[in-house]
Amino acid sequence: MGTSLKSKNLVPHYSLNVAFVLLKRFSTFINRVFKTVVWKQVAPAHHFNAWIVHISGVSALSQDKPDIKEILITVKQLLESIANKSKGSERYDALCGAFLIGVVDRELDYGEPQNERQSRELQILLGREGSIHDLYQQFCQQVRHGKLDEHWPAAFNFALRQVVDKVSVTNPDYLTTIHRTKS
Amino acid sequence: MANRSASRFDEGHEYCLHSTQLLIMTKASEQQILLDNIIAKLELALKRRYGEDISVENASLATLGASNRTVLFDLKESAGRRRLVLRQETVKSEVSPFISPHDQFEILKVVHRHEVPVPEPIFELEPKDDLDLGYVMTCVEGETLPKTLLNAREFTVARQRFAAQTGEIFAKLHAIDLREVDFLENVIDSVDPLAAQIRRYDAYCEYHPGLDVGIRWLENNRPPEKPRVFVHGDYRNGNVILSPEGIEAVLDWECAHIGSAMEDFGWVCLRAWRFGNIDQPVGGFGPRNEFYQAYTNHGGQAIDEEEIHWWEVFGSLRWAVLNMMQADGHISGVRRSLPFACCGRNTSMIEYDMLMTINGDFS
Repeated sequence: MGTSLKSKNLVPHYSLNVAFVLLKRFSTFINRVFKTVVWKQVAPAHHFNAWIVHISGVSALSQDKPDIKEILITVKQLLESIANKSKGSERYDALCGAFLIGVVDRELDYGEPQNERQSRELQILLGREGSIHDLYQQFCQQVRHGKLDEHWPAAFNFALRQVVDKVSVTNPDYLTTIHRTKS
Repeated sequence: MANRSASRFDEGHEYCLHSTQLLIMTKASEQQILLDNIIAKLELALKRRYGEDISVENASLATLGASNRTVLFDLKESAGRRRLVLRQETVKSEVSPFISPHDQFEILKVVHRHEVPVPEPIFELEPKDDLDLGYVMTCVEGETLPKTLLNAREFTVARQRFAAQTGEIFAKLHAIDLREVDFLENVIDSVDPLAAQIRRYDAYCEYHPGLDVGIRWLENNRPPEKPRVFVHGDYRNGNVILSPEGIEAVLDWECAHIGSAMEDFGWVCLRAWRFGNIDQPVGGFGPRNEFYQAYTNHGGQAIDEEEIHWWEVFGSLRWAVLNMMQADGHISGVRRSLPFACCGRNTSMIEYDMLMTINGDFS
């Protein structure tokens, strides 16, 4: 799993699979939390695993409620409540988990339109077509080798817009006012 | 400056990292077993040095660091009790940004001799200790948590003193005769720090337009060569122990090398180390003018603000690459950690700082 994720790491992930992969990765931590904190109140950890497996399948795209956004909000709220009741590394891990769920939530909202816009801009800037991954690679290569020095303002502005897109997914509050309404 | 190293654009991606190159053990469930194992070996190592009557008590594993495992413990002897710290190397990689524990220990001895506030070096581990690479030093009491240091009332005086004290410490460090640390000459960051960061970035096989634009800007705007000095390389809020009275000790010497004095200035003023206090450039504690003045008043070289700006942009590149290293540790499975997973996505904020700093929007 690590290798396949790594090969995609540069490209914003727009499919629901990302949410599933991340949620699976949280499952160890969640299991621990369920076992130590929530088990008696909510459900055995194996129920959570079953839920993760369930949403990882095709049926996750069904019209059944709660939808994927509601599920993310639910898990995020759980992690935040655990953080509020915990201390030390458990609290920190729970906050990190909630943060990452927030990233998935926003990427589901913004990822695809960002991807399409960046792809259009890169095709104009580079004069070629390709997947967003190929276009990123070409852009980075051409910048690094000085081939875009003559178009520096355009290259810089593209990079800044792409970074603003990423921050609007990672932590929109980090952006200065001028960049906050972009996505 | 040396030529740019082979990059991930080159055929074969020979610098791509493989997870097996990182040898890190951090599974939370194994931590107690790990600690017990370390203590058993440590006690034997201490008995060899201080006699059979000693014992190790009150041992604890400090929070996970980027490059070292830190174990705090009491050495109980017939004469009394000493609080000590064991530092062990945890990252072993061909693109590790950290110098060897042996070199760290040698540096501790040098700077301690020059009366820089540091933990006193006690002894270096030997192969027969069976504790891998590392060393033991004294434990300095105080606080390192950045948010606490920036907000707690008890550190009001320490906060006021931080910028000037840091200027004084930098002047002392940068005056150290390079012959005393000549073993750092071959460190890649001493040869060409930008090439070193590019090599590490390329090793992770990721494509970040913001970082590549930043790298190009750094290459096109390299500052003129200046006399080279000994630099700490990672002096920042979080790597300094403070008491309510001020700085007690400078920690984390694993990035020390030889280079421009202005590099240390750029790093401590990096936006990431202000922890929200963005209007206080010196680690979130204080203003630049007090810092610069204290440095020159204590014999430091002339301040070059344009060069410091370059090093701040460079610092963002370096910090982004370090975050990629942490994320890789998580993704590859050898150092699973939710905070490290966050590091991967945090690179976007560092890229933002970098481009806004180049643009002059951030200072």
